[in-house]
Amino acid sequence: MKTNGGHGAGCAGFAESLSPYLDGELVPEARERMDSHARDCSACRRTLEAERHLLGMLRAGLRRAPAPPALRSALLRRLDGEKPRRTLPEILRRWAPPAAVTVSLLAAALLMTPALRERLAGERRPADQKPGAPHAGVIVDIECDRAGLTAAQQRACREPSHHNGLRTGEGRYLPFVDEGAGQALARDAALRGRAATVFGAVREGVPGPRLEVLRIEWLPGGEADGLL
Amino acid sequence: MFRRGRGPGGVRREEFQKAALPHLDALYNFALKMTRDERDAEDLVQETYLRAYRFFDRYEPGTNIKAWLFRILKNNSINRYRSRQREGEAVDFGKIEESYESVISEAHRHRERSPEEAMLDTDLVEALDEAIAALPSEYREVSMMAIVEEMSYREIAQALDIPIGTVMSRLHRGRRLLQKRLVEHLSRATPEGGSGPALAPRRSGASKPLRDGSEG
Repeated sequence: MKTNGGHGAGCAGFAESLSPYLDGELVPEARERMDSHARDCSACRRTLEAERHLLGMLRAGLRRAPAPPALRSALLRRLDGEKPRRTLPEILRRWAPPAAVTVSLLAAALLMTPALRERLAGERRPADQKPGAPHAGVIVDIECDRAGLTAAQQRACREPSHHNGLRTGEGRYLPFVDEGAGQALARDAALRGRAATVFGAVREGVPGPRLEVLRIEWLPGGEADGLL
Repeated sequence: MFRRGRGPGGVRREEFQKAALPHLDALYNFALKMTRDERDAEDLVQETYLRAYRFFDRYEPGTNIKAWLFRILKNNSINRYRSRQREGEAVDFGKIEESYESVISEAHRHRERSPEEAMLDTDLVEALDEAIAALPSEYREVSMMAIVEEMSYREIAQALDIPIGTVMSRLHRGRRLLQKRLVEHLSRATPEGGSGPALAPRRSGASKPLRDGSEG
């Protein structure tokens, strides 16, 4: 919306319109009136020049610095882990309450692992399973990861003998128990590359320890593509 | 097993990133001026982008996405920082208006100083940074948007959900305050009677390293 400057080209009108004039907010006729007055009135012309100069200095002095590069990359990673509301199935949108929080909880429900879903359904856990210590890391195809393949390559790998596991921060590999509820976790290629905190019990086995997953908390981070 | 969205979800994400990411610097700087804390500003910007992404279907393509993003940022900051809103100093605007003529005269005296050179004057940049921090928040927001982001009055009105008339009056006041501080700094920094070129003499008491590393 452009504004019409003060009526007539008197000095009071000029002063009033100075700000919108400098900000490019005047309609062409009003701007011309200002220019014409400035041509005729040296006092107002001087004020205009001073204001213009001050604005230039303010713009130069307040110039914005670029955002830290880490912010940009962190942001991209977080966006990668998000889903826009629009992709929720229609049926959920229809009966879910409008509150955004509830909707996103439901969205999270869709991303549950079988282990988690089982737990929420209220099934009693076997007595010898205790909530284990948290293990934070990235889910990988262990064999491929050892070979240095990227996350994208790992997700494309369909080798039946390969198993998923957690690669911890220290670089240790904990394969997932490949039976029962854990089977999906151990075999789903789509999970490779996702960062998570895994709560589970480490079971000794052959050839080595395996992680029986009781609960997963997905974390932002990990890599969608490229090296993990 | 449920898979992460690759089809429609992925395309939407690309669309969003292309439209929204170019405004990252602008949003960050605005958040930084509001919160005065880098980490808070980063958190605020991240939340803003996530929220914008989640509600991307509410954005009307072709309309001003910058104003939309700033609106989300502003709303987020209200929720988060309500108790910590920095309200700046109380200002006597009557006095500010009275001193306008002398501000203009001073500005006229320093008209030879180029804005490009001003950008390199770290004392000046610091003084302006303090000046904008000292503004009452409603003047600071409008001033940042108009002066730094060069948003139109209409865009600012949309972003802050206020009438255009309010935008103009707040900008007017914010500007007057900033001009006064600017001119005070220019006058302090240069010798009486000259529209001084080059570097300002050091303020007494502060010993800052010169650019070549030696102490001033």
